Amino acid sequence: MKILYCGGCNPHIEREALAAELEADERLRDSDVAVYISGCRRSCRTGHRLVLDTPGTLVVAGEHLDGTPVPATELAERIRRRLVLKKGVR
Amino acid sequence: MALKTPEEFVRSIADLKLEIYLFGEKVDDYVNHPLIRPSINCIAMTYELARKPEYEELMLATSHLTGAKVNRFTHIHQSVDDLVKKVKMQRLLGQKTGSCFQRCVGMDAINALYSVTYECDQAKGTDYHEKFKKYVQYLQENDLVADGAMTDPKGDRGLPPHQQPDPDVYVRIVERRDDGIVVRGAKAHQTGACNSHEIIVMPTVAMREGDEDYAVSFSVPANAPGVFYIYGRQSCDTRKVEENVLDVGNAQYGGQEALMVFDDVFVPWDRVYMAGEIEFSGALVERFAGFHRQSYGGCKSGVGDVLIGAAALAADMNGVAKASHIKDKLIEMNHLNETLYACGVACSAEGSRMPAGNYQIDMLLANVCKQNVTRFPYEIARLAEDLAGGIMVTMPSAQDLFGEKTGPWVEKLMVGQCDTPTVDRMRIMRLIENMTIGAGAVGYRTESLHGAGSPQAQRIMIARQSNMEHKKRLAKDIAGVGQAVEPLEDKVLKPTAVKK
Repeated sequence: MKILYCGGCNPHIEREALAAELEADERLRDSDVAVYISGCRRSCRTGHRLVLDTPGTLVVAGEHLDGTPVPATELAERIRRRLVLKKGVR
Repeated sequence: MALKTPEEFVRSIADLKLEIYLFGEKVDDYVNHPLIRPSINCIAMTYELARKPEYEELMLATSHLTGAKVNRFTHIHQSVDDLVKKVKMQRLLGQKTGSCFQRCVGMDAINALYSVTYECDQAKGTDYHEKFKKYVQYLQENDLVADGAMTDPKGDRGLPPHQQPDPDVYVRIVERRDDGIVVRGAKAHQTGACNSHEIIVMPTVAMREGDEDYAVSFSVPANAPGVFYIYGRQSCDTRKVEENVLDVGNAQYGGQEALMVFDDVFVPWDRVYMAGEIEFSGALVERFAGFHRQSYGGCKSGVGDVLIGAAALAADMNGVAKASHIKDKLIEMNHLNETLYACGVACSAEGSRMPAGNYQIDMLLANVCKQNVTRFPYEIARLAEDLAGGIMVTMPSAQDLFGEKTGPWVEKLMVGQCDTPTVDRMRIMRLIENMTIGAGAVGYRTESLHGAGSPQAQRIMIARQSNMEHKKRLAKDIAGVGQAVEPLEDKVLKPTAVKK
């Protein structure tokens, strides 16, 4: 699993804390996924796209996961479910 | 990747053994001087953030000269994306320091010189551009801080440089040799000069015939023989030398300005980028000013974020956060602050590629950006003072908070909303004071007014670029000016009856 950040100028979520939570989960370590974490809906890390067509990617943009609104407190769990259950990861 | 650590940066500045004067005395250990250290901490932050993966998207760029990742403050903008990221990076630094963080001037200088040296070479057959590229590569590979020195003291503003009674009020060439030039004069208001490894000098106005020796641009190490600095005072600066720095408000970070003197300084030719080409002096001034006016959309909105946060906290601590007028004032502060940022992004998004290959901001929108910056921080500051209340400027000192007799009284009488410790309420009040009328106000208010050119300078640029003839044609076309009077039916659809 690879984590890629935006520059952090307008963080609506705790980007580093979310990354740390994902990286601490051993079940996710071998996932062949790139998780793009932008701090707000501008989604700068992915060229202002809330979802990518590239296989093996997940886009967090503020309180959104692949374009779907998700409260900040639920982001890590939703990502875990996608990666562990391999659902919803293109 | 040769990125320095913050500690390496501080050591490298100390090792320069700069000649700095403050309150009439030469300062030997300037990196640890309480008045100077906060400004050094600001630039150290540009090094600290560049080494963190969660900020590298903004803080680092890929050099077009070497292909290596470099600190964006040493980068020549290669795309609109670079221009936008520059503004975002500056907002981030403003948020992290709550202060003018000084490193942007050098970045704006190298980006202006990059295109001007190229065009000068094309027009006049000079050899400045290749030399300048090597210099930029040197800055990048060594991760250095450059001060962009433009503003001369200027003396009598009604006279051109070569007619000044005292010629030293402008930097000029006093001797041309086979191996280089000798310069004399001074640069005023030099933000971050005493925190820089290198000084890049540019002319301050478009030079005309007779001012050839003043159309000079060059770089020197900050400790070049003949260069010395006279440190500028700031509002409430000596609070930084008090025993308890709580009263400073922002004790960790601060701005810095110096009067920089060039007392017969030798510059070898490989560091000279303009020497008499008056036709290009105006372009250099304009492009540097344009980039620097763009910068303010980022840095001041970042500092504004801190002030707005402090004002909101003051309202919370005062127990008035729910009042509708308080909420509305915070909305207004955010509206003004985001407008500054919007202007910074807009002039970046409308940027274009220069013949040299680098990207330049849109000049009209950059000047609009800065014109707004000359006004909105004043209103944001006024609203912050409104929310803080008068206690901001009448509070007892930190010594009294911790005094044997006075402490218990200050503790119980300066309390606001009861869950907030008194010391924290006082900290927030002092931060607002710092940013609105204290040392931080130098960077947030007066620098917003005069930095990158005083308000009239932007109005002149806005007037030049507003395309008034086009706007007049639009109005004439809509109003039908100059057209024959025709029956209305020929121009306007007949209104049809409304179906019931």
